[in-house]
Amino acid sequence: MFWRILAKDIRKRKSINVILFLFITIASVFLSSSVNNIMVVGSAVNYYMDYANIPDISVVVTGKEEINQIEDWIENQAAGVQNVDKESFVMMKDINITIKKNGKEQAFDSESLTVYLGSLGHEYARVYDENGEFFSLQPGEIAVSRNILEQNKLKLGDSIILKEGSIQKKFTIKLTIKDAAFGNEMSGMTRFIVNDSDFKQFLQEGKAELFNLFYVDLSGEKGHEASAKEVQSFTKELSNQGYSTLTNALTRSTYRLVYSFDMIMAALLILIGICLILIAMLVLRFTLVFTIEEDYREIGIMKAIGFRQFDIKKIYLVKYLFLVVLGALLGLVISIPVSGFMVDSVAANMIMEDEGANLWLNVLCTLAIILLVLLFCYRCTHKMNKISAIAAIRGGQIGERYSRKAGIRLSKWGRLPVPFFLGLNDMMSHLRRYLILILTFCLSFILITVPLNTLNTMRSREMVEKFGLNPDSAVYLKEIERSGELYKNTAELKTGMKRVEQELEKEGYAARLTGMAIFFLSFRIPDSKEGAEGDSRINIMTIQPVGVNTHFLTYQEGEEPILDNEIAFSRQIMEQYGWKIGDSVEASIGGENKTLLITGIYSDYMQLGQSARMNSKLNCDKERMFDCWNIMVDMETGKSQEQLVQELKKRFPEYQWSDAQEVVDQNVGSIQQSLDDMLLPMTGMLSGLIMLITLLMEKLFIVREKGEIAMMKSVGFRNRSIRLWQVMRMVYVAIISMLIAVPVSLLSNQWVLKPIFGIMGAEVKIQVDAWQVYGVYPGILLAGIIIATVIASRSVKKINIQEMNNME
Amino acid sequence: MKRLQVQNLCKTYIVNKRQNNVLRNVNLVIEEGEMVGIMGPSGSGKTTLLYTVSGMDTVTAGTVDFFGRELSELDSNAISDLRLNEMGFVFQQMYMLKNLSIYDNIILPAYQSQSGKSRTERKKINDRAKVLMQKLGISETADNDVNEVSGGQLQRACICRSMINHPKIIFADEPTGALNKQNSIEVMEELNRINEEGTSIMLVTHDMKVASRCQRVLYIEDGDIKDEITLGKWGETTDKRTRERQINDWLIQLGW
Repeated sequence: MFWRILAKDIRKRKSINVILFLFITIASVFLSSSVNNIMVVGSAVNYYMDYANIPDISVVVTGKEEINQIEDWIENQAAGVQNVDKESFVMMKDINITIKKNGKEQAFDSESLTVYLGSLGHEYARVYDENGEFFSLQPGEIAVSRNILEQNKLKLGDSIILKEGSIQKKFTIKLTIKDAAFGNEMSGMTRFIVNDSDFKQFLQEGKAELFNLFYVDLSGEKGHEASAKEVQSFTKELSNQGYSTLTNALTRSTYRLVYSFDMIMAALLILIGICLILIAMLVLRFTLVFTIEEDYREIGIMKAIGFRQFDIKKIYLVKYLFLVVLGALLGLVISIPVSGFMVDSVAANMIMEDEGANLWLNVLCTLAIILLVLLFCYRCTHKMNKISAIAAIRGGQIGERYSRKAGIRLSKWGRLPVPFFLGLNDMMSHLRRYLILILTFCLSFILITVPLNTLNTMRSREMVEKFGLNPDSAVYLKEIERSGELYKNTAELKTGMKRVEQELEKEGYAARLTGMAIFFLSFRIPDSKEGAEGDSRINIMTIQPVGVNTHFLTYQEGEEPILDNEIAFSRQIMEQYGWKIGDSVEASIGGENKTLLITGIYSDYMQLGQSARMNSKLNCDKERMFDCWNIMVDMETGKSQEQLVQELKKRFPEYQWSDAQEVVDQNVGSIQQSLDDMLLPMTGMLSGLIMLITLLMEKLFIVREKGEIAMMKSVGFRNRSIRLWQVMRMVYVAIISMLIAVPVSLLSNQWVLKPIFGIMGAEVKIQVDAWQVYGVYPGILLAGIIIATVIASRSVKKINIQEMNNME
Repeated sequence: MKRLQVQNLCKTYIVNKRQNNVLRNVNLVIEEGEMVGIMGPSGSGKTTLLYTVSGMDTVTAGTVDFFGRELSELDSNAISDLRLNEMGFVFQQMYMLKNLSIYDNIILPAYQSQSGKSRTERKKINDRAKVLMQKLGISETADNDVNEVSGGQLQRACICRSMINHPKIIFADEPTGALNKQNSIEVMEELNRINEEGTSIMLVTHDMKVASRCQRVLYIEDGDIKDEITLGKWGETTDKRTRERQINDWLIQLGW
C-alpha cells in the first residue's frame, strides 16, 4: 500500500517533490563535504605544525647589529627556554629576481609576498618536498613553493636568477616545497631554498638585508606546546630588553591561525547547508500540513474505521522518508568526490597524516540529516491528532481555520487595482503563511549585502588612509631603491626620493614624493605609575612621514603631532599601556633618549593596529629605518590613478607604480579580488535558490487556491489579472522581507563586518553603496522572484471552472 | 438581438479515448427578462449546457448568440469581460474568497470591472452593494468573514455579487441545492424579485418547487431538450400550488 500511496503522491505533485528532493540533496552535499573538510583541516594543521617542528615562538630580528646580544639573551638569560635555534634569511627584492623560461628572461611576480632566501638543515620550521620527504639540493639548484611556480607559469627545470649586491647567480628549479612557516599565502611570505654553499655567498654579501629567526622552544618536548602563559611571559620579557632590531615574535598559534583561513570556505558552505536544511524543513512542514488539511476527511474516515494514529501517520511519512533518504543518499554520493576535491586542495598546501577524506564523517552527516528531517516531519504530523473522526465526516471541511487576522478592506483601498489589493490583503491576512519566503528572501538579501559592503569598504578612501597613505595622492611607489641599494635611514630615503623627483621632472612630471618611514622604536614612560603595564620598555612600530605630504592622517582624539617633541599612538597601544593624551613617553631614537608628548589617538591597520606616528619635524636620520612604507607621489595631472599608473609603468618600468586599490590589495591579500569574483556566482546562486523556493511555494499556493481561482475566472477575472495577483503577492512578500532585511543588514555591518575588519587592528566605517545595496542587487533578487512566480502561475491558465468543486 | 439564442449546440468530451457526447444539437432561446429553468436527470447535460452558454466552457459545435454577440468568435479575454460585465453566476456551493469580508466579496467584480475607477464611480459601486445587501437582508453581515455567516446568508451574498455589475442574465446552478427549506425559499424569492426587475435568469435545478418559480422550464435528457413547459411569470398568473402541480404532472409524463 505504501508504494501505491507513494507513486500516487509523486505523480500528483511532481515539481514540488523534485524541488524538495533537490534541496535535501544540495544541503546534504554542502554539509557532508564541509564538515568533513573542517575536521580534516583542523586535525591536519596540528599534524603539519608538529611534522615541520614549528617552535613555540619565532623571534624575528632584522639586520646583524644586535643579533649576538639577542642570541645571548635568549640562550642565557631568558626564563623557560628549553631549546633554541637560529636561522638567517636574505630578504630578496622583486627587482633582484628574474625568471628565465623558454630561453627568455622575464620579470618575477611575487604576488605581493616578501621573498626570503634560505637553506636546508635546520631543526625547526623545516621544509619538505611535495611528498613530505626531506630533500637535498646541489649548488645551482633551487626549490620554491608551488604558488610561486604557478603564479609565474614556471615549470621544473626553468631558471631563477637572483642578484644581491655584487652576486648574481642562476638557479635551476629542482622541485616544489611544502613550507609550514612560509608556505601559506596569508602569511605574506614565501621562501626560496638553495644549497648551503650558494646561500652562504648571498649571506656574506655585505649589502644583503638579513632577516633572522630565533626558534624558541619553551616546552622541551616534541609535539608538546608551551602554554599561552609561558609564551606571553617570554614575549613580554623580550620586549623589555628594548632591542631596536627586534620586529616581531610569532607564536605557534599565529601560524595555526593562518591555516585556519583554509576553513573559511568550508564554514561558509556549512552555513549555506544549514540554511538549506532549515528552508527544506519549513517547506516540508508547509507541504505536510497542506496535505493533511487536504486529506482531512480521509483521515477522519480512517480514524472512524479503526486505524491507529501512528498507522495513519506512517502513510504520510513514507513519502518523506523516501524523499529524504533518497535525497540525502544522493547527496552523500556527490559529497564523496566533493570532499576529495576539498581535501586535495588542502593537501596541496599541507602535509597530512592521511590525505584521504574521512568518508565516515560524510555518512554520519547524512544520517544526521535524515534523522533530523524525519523527526521534524513526524513532529509536523501531530496536527493529525487533533482531527476528530466525527467532525471530519460530518463537516467535510478541510480543517484549515480561516480567520482573517489583519486583512484590509477593498472599499478603503479602492484606488488600488484589484490584483494589487488581493496580493496585499493575502499578505496582511496570513503573514505566517509567508514566513518561509520572508526568511529566505531576507537571508538572501543579507547574504548579498555582506560581500557588497565588504567590497565597498575595501575600496573606500578610508581604507587607504587606514594603511597610512593619502588617498588623494596621484600614485604610489612600492620601492625606489635601485638594484644593490638598501636605504638604512631617512637620509638615504630622502636622497632616493630626490633622485626619483628629478627623473620624473626630466619627463615632464612635476612630482613631490613623500615616504612613510618605518622604525621599531623602544619606548618607556618616565615617572610611570606603580605596577602599570607601561613600567617597562616596549618596541612599537613607528611611522614618520618624510617629505611634503605630511598632514593627511586623521585622528580619533586629540591632534596630529606637529612639533618635534610630539607623537601619537594607536588606540590599542594607548589602552594596552594605560596612556592618555598629554602623557609623556621616552623613546630611544638614534641612540639618544627623547621625551615625547602624546597629542593624539588614532586607529589604523599598521602593525595590526599597534603603532605610533612620529611628527614629521624630528630628524630621525640616525635611527635605523626598518623599511619604507609605500611612497606617495603627488602631482597635478588631471588623470585618474589608474590612467597615471599605466602611463608611468610604460615610461618608468623600473619602478613598481600602483594605485590606491592595489596598495590596499597588497596588504589584505587577494580578498578583494576573490570577493569581486565571487559576487556574480553568489548572486546567481542566491537568485537560483530564491527562484526555486518561490516556484515551489507558488505551486503550493496555486494548488491550495485552485477553487478560488476557478471562482474568480467564473465571475470574469482574466488569467492575466489572476497571475498579476499571484505576482503582486510575491512582490509584497519580497518588499516586506527587504524591509526586515535592511535593519538586520545594518546590524550585521555593525556586529559581523566591523569585527572582521577589526581583526586587522582598527575600526572602519562600513561603506554602504545605497544604489547597489538597496537598488541593483535587491532588484536582481526581485526579478528572480517575479520570473519564478510568472513561471509557476502559468498553471493558472489550466485551471478550469469545474475546479470550484475543490473549494470547501 | 436582445436575447440568448443557442443553435445546434454540441459538446463532446473525450475521456480515456472514448467520446462522450454530452450535448447534442441543443436549440434554445432565452428572451430578455425571462426566467428559464432547466431540469433533467443526473448526467443529462444540464450543468454542461449552463457552462457552455455562459462561455465558461467551449462548444464543440453550434452557436451561442449572447445578446447579439457570438461567443465562439470571442477570444478568452473578451469572454472573461463578458462574464464580468454582462453575466452573473450563482452556484450550488457558495464560492467566495476566504481572505475577504462578505462586503468585499460582493464588490470585487465591480472594482475589477472598472479599473482606474474614480471616487464617484467607487461611491456608486458601494451604494449599489449596500442597496443590494439591504434588499436581500444581509446588511448586517457586511463586515463578517465568509465562515461567520449561515449558508442562506452566504448564498444571498453570492446573488448580490452576481448582481453588482448589472448583468443581462444570471446563470444559477442549483442555487438552493445546499440550503435548507427556509433559506431556499428566501433565495428564490430574491431571484424572482431580480427577474421582475428585468434581469434574465437561466437556472438549473432538481427541485420542482424551485422550477415552478420559472416562467418556462426545459427538460433535458441525453444531451438534448426533450420538452418544455411554459408557466408564465411568477406571481402574475396561476397560484404557487397550481404551478407546482403543473410541473409535477409534466415531469411524470416525461418519466421523471
